[in-house]
Amino acid sequence: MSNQEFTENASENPLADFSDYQDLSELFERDPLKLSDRDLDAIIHEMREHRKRWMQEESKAKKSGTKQNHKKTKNTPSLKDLDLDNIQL
Amino acid sequence: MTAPRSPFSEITPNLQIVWDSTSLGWLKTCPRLYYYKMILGVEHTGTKQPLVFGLGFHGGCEEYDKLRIKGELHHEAQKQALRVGLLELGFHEEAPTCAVCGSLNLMDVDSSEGYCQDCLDTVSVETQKVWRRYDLDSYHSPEALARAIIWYTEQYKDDPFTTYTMPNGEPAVELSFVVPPGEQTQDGEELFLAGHIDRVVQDQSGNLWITDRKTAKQSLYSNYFDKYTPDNQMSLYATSGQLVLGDTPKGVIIDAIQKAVNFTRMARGYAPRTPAQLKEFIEDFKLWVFQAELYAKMDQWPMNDTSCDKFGGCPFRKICGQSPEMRDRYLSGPDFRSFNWNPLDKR
Repeated sequence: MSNQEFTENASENPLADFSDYQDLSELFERDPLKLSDRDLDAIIHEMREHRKRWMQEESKAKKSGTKQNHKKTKNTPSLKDLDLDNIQL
Repeated sequence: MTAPRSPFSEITPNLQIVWDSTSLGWLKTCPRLYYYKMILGVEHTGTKQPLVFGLGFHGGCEEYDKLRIKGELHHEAQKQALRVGLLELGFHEEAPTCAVCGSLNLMDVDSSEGYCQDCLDTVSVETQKVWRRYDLDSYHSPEALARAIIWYTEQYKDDPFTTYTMPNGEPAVELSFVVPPGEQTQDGEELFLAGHIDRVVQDQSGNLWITDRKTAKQSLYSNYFDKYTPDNQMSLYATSGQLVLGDTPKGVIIDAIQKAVNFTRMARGYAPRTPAQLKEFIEDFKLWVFQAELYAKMDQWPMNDTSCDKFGGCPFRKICGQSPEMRDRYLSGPDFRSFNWNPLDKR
């Protein structure tokens, strides 16, 4: 097994242990060029876990509030929904 | 056909001959706005956070696409994408550091010594390259960017649309283009369209599509994608894509990424264009440039005062609202700064 394959399998292994990374915020303050492979693995692992949790919550919310969500999508976006920062003028 | 070295005409001062969607959009919105930004080169000193975040997201996704098409594994490509993306959120600079502990908390620094507030002692000082991150809010933080890159690449890991490989073997990712649509100024100078295409993909039938990624705080309502048809940028990309690729793309695929503090939502929409629509865009483009040519020759750029209220209010409104003799003073004030937008700049 090549190193690359090993990394792929290890990082996608749900049992991969990143418990020594208590707080990722320290990693985000660091020079990105000084992040180790394991630091990046930890960030990716956490982001994937977060995504899984969020998708489960979204799925639950959709099931329980279909009617309300359906009504909302028909509304015209209000001014507060516009990304005023991101419009080039 | 050689590409021009300047975006402006050699014959008519202040007449732009190389147009990208940004500058064309300014002209369409308001000729006076266009004049301030493109001719005078001033912009409002507003936040740069969305721009920096967008560069990080686009840079990261571009790296991911390039590595994947070269055969790199998903996870390894994600790691490189993360690093490339995060690097856009700051810069490196030479700074004095403590030679003992590496701290930047120094006082009273002279050429070789300083007081280290961590060592609590006078120490030797050495200059090192240090990382300075921009001040970013929680919508544009490194964590939000990392989440956007990872969630996006997870979502489209097995994208049915595959990155197109150019005839020269290079993946069609972040293509900077300058192409002549076959139109000229009234004085006979060749006009050009310019810009940057995020990615060109092929659907399962082999049709080409241009893709564009949009990051926004705006909620992705079901009608979110309606605004892209018609749309200046998407039509310019599809038209230029035809000239760059030598094949008419079906249109533009828009991957919208909603930035939020604790999640990132994604949706994919389509802005198809027919060959007749692309032809119409070029005809309209020519008329817009004719207008710009008239304004440049008259050295007069009219206000479109029906646009002042759009997008929460034009930042130049406080300039245009002044009496003409007062405007220069406001433009050189602290609310504005000089900047140079050049459609020929490559990413």
